Amino acid sequence: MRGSFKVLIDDKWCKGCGLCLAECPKEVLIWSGRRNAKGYNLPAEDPAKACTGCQLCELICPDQAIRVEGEPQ
Amino acid sequence: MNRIAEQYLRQETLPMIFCPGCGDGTVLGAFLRAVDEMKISDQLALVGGIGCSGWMPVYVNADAIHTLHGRAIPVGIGLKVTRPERKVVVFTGDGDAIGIGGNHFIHAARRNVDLTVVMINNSIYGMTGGQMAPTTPSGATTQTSPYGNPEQPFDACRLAEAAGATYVARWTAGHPRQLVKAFKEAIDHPGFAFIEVVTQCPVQAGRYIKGGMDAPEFLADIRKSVVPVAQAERMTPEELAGKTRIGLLHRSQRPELTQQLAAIRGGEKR
Repeated sequence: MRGSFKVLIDDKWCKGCGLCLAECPKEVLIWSGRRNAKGYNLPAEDPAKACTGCQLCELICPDQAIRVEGEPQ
Repeated sequence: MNRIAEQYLRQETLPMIFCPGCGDGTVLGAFLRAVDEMKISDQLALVGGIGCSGWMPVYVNADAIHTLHGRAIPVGIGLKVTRPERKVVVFTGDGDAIGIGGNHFIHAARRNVDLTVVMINNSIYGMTGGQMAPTTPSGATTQTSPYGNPEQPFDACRLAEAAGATYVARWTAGHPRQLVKAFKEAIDHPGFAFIEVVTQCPVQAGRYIKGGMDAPEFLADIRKSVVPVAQAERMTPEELAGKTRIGLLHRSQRPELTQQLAAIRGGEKR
């Protein structure tokens, strides 16, 4: 899918399981080094990589903490 | 949080009780996407048993009952018989469905009640602390089988098919898109629809059976242990040893219980 996409991670609900990192075919997600209020490690989008909008991370996230935003061209 | 979750989850009940990396949340997400595509959220009636999976209906913004251990399916049957216009979906676990509620499960399949039964299979009693379940693989170490499981596990899909279920499918938590499709087919199916979802349980099954608590690794191993049905047909029994078949395993048509009951009543409207 072409276009510009953005992966938004909800700090409040993320439990830092790492499934989204393993699932992303383009390895767009990385560990951010930040932690949320419960102490879970938070993932973030790697600014050097481009998200293709496949939404696999959104589908696999057990806590529904991910939203992929953007419009396909 | 994504749009589906914002629309269909009860925000005041979050976060979900599931451990980090548990597959139950993924399955619930796939179910919500199916409900969203079918536009049936106001017709839903959800039933949850006891166990981690029994919590899944609690988070959904729809009518739900949380019942006794093993008794989710009989409650679902009662609900469907009294309110046949409802789409009744039962969320149950492996211990709940084929351990404690095994007899209810086979008789619901025999009666061919129009239910959708979603069985989350994590191969262990997770919520109570990792005891051996009827789905624990032979030889696996658990808290109650420290020398290895001496028993053979149940194949829930074969059991359902043999008992008379008319829709039987098996997927894993690593196949969310296929799960959305399976949920849509199962809810539309007029008769007993059974979906087994093999999920990762990084905390209990991970600790006792696998010896590692990494969720992505667990999910990758589950994906390696399954073969799609079409591919399995071309494989030899030696190649299939230790593999689990996934996909639509069985679909047939036969008279459904609530329709039979309506016919006995002479079609009178309740």
